[in-house]
Amino acid sequence: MIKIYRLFPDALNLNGDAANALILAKRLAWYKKEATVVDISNEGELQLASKEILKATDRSVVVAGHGSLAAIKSLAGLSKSLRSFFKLIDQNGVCAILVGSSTSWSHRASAATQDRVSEFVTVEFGLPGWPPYALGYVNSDLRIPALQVSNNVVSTLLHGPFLAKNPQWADAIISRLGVDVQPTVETQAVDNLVTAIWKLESKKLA
Amino acid sequence: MRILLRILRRGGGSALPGLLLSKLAPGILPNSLRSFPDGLIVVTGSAGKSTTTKMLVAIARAHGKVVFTNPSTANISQGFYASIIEQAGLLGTVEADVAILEMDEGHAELFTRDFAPRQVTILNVMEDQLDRFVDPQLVREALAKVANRATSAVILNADDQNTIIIGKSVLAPTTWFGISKELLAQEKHGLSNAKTFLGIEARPQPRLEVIDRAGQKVVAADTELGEIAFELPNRGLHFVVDSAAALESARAYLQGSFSTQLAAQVLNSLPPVFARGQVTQVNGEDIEFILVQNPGSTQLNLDNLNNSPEQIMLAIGRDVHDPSWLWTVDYSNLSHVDVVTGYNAFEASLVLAYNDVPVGRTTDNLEDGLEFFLAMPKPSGGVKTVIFSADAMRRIRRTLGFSGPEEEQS
Repeated sequence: MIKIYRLFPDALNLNGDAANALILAKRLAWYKKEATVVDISNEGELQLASKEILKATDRSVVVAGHGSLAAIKSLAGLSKSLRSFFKLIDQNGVCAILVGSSTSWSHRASAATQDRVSEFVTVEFGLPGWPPYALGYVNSDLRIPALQVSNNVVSTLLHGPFLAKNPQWADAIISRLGVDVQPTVETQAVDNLVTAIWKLESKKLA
Repeated sequence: MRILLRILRRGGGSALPGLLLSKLAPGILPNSLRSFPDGLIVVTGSAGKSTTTKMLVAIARAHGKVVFTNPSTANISQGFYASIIEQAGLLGTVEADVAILEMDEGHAELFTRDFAPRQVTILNVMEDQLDRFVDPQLVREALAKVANRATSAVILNADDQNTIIIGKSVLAPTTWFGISKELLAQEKHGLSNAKTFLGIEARPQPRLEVIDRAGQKVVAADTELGEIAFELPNRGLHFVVDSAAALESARAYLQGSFSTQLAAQVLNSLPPVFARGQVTQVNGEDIEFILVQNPGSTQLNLDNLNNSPEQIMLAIGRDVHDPSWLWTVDYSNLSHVDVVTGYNAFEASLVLAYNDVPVGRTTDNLEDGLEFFLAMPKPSGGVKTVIFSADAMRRIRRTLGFSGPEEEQS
């Protein structure tokens, strides 16, 4: 059983980011692999999850989304614990996807800011073993690359359901969990919709 | 000025004349507002501005007030100037007692810097247009500034933690409208206002509270004036909230001359607003059109769907710049969708697919999608249901030959 740990879904879902857990769970089900979503909503659950994840690094994936200013402020007391948590999972090769403001807890993030960008973008990515492109919406003033990967931790400013519009990134994470990602009828159906979205947005971006 | 207005009036219906007038004669709007003895009333917030403003204007007019107002599609500065073009007399002036203007959240803060309103009504703060407004907290802070510029009265929603926070800093006399706890408890997702992630503030005692609701029939209670019973032209809790806001805003403005009986008569006789759950005839067939504009209104409308519609079309147009919010909505009340269309059709279908909502056909060609949907045989029960965003609504109205800003089509 693969466990998808979803961090503070009530707070970190401003742009539908919590759906990244749904997307992983659905695709795993379509690949005939059992998975469950485990919500982490307080420090005790975070500590417990840390222990469980370290016992099963190859069967765990962590999802964290974008929160409003107030939501992130409400989690400020946990900031140190969250940074330690993500450092730990990074060092142990656990898969994770951090979107929007939650990237501030990954050790690659920076606090430097620039003029706010609010638009659809395609991002080129050159790290072997990961897809070469990603598409998504950025609404951020952070001066950091839109997409970063450290070991198996993906941090991106492309907010919302990043994995829905980038199924190759979802499958890249799933394959690291030892799952065979051969297309199924269900994945092909949703991936055809994604192809149409990419065509439309590429036309607009061009 | 008269010649200028006459020239600009020829371009009516587009945003350009308003923009031109604002550049060529920027003083005409503040001068007009200053000439109104009762000044300016602002209605703002994330959702419900158009409906509340229409209700408030109708009640004020029924009480003998001459009102200068703006259509719902013109709630930013250039829209106010466009309204001047439409409503100015031969001498280039607008004769009115009061201006009651619906204002976009962002523009309300800018506009009221230069012209203090007499009265401000703030309906709510939702997670809305984040591609523009970035964060609900920033919207709340902007609206607090607007409220603090009111010279006579502020009317706030007692059931939104954001407006309660705004109320704590307001200097002008503040009154509240609300929905009873029992009625709110019946809503699966509440009012969908933005979470504040702060300690829960105590609910202020509303001056006007909706205490009963059965379909479109509503009973509200004013702490001093007693009960007001009326029937709304559209269904849904959001209309009930808007009517409560309009009644309390009208009472605060009209003071001693406010008649609950007259106000109820006005609400009873309001024409249905197009696409707010209104059934309209197309090619001899009844069709229900439902406008959705943000996560909150989408959720409230899905939660309030009439039974389980047999035939549904979902059209999400270009106005949804960042379709990410579609993923924040709970679609469990949707059994299926026959046609998904509009510029964001593939985005919408992707959300539905991951949420196990079966979709019949997906096309980004709105006209094709509409034609296919309308050609489907009549449902065996109920009516065809079209759920659309504002841009898709405008295009569908054009395609079907509907005219006029928003009124009921016959």
